[in-house]
Amino acid sequence: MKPLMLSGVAVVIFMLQLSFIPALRPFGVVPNAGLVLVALVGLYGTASLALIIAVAGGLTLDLVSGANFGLYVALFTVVALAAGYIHRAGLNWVGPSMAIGLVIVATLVQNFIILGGLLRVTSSWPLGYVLGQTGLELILNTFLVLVLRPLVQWLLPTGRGELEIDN
Amino acid sequence: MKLTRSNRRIVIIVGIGAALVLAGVLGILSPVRWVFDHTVLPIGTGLASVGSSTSQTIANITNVQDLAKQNDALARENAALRQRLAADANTRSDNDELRRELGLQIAGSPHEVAAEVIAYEPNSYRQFVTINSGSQAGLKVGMAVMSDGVLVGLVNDVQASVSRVILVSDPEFKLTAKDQDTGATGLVQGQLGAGLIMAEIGQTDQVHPGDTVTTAGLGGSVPAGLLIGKIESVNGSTNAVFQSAELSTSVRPNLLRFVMVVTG
Repeated sequence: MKPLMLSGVAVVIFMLQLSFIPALRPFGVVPNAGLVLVALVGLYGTASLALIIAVAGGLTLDLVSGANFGLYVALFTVVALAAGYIHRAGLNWVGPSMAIGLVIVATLVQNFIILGGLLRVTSSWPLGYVLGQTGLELILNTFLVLVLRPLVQWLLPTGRGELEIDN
Repeated sequence: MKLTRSNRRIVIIVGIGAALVLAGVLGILSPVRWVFDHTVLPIGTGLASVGSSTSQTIANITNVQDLAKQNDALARENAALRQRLAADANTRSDNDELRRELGLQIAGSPHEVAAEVIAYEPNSYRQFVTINSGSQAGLKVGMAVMSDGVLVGLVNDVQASVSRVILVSDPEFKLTAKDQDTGATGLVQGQLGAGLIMAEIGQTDQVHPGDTVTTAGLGGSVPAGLLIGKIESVNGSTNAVFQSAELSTSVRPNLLRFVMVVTG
């Protein structure tokens, strides 16, 4: 039952990410709930489960995105692999700090790639605006980690999340 | 080296992801896109609408102090526009009469297709929306997209039943425009932070704060005379080849719900 519920949660989160969240734009930014979900499933579940969510969810976001096709599949895949590595190393249970750290790094990489793609088309770089937006995104993504972490841990088929046997 | 079962699974999933991205880049992802457009996006329509309405409500609550000020400004603008409309009515009637006398064809009103916003760009910096109308409704890349009588963007990618629109506030947006009051032309560009500028205005051309900026209709499939915004300030240095102006527009990307695509 729980794997089915986790699939349902993943579908809802990615549907919200392409419609409700960017329409709402809390504090003028778009937090990435999909990224948070992939990181949490990778840290507390299995790498393969996180990768399935990363590819399916990333492709969903790439298909609605007007620029940088492949960004979300690539980013989420790397996050799922990194989270799986942390899981295998047994570092994932140090409170939510590992999840927050992973999401912060991934958010910075995502924004770096998006802004890097704009280098050739814009000459105006309002640094305060970019830093402000990125800072707010980091805060909101951290908040999402704290909100979604207990839910993801409860929903994972292995319960508290355990190492894959044949690694 | 023999891969373990879980590592084999990981390699297969990563391989599928890479193949899907490659197929998308090569433009051969049409069947997946078709399924996505007909299953996921219709569900997103309702959620997008709820998000947009919630955002509007929050904006109204937080801006309640400014509403009286905005109301006064709008009342003044309304009076000025009524005056201008009355003057334009006389000009239009004179124009029609002269055209009849000269035997010229009177241009018909542009043909428009209505569409609903069903998805938004899922990040903070780019400004694209997906609408539920595509090539089946006659949409083509480069067509103008309007909302409340203002240009909001251009059609950027067309599928059978959905299209992606690049909004005027996206940093990659560029379109030739004209100062309706002085005739000066320039290039309207989106800016990071959702602002708009009109660049490449000739140093000898006249542009003033408050002037109305419309599409110039030079090439492409965007007709002339579509309202883009108003000039807020002019940045002119006598040493520079061009001057530029900052524009204000009523477009708020996340509040867009219904748009009109100018198809002809």
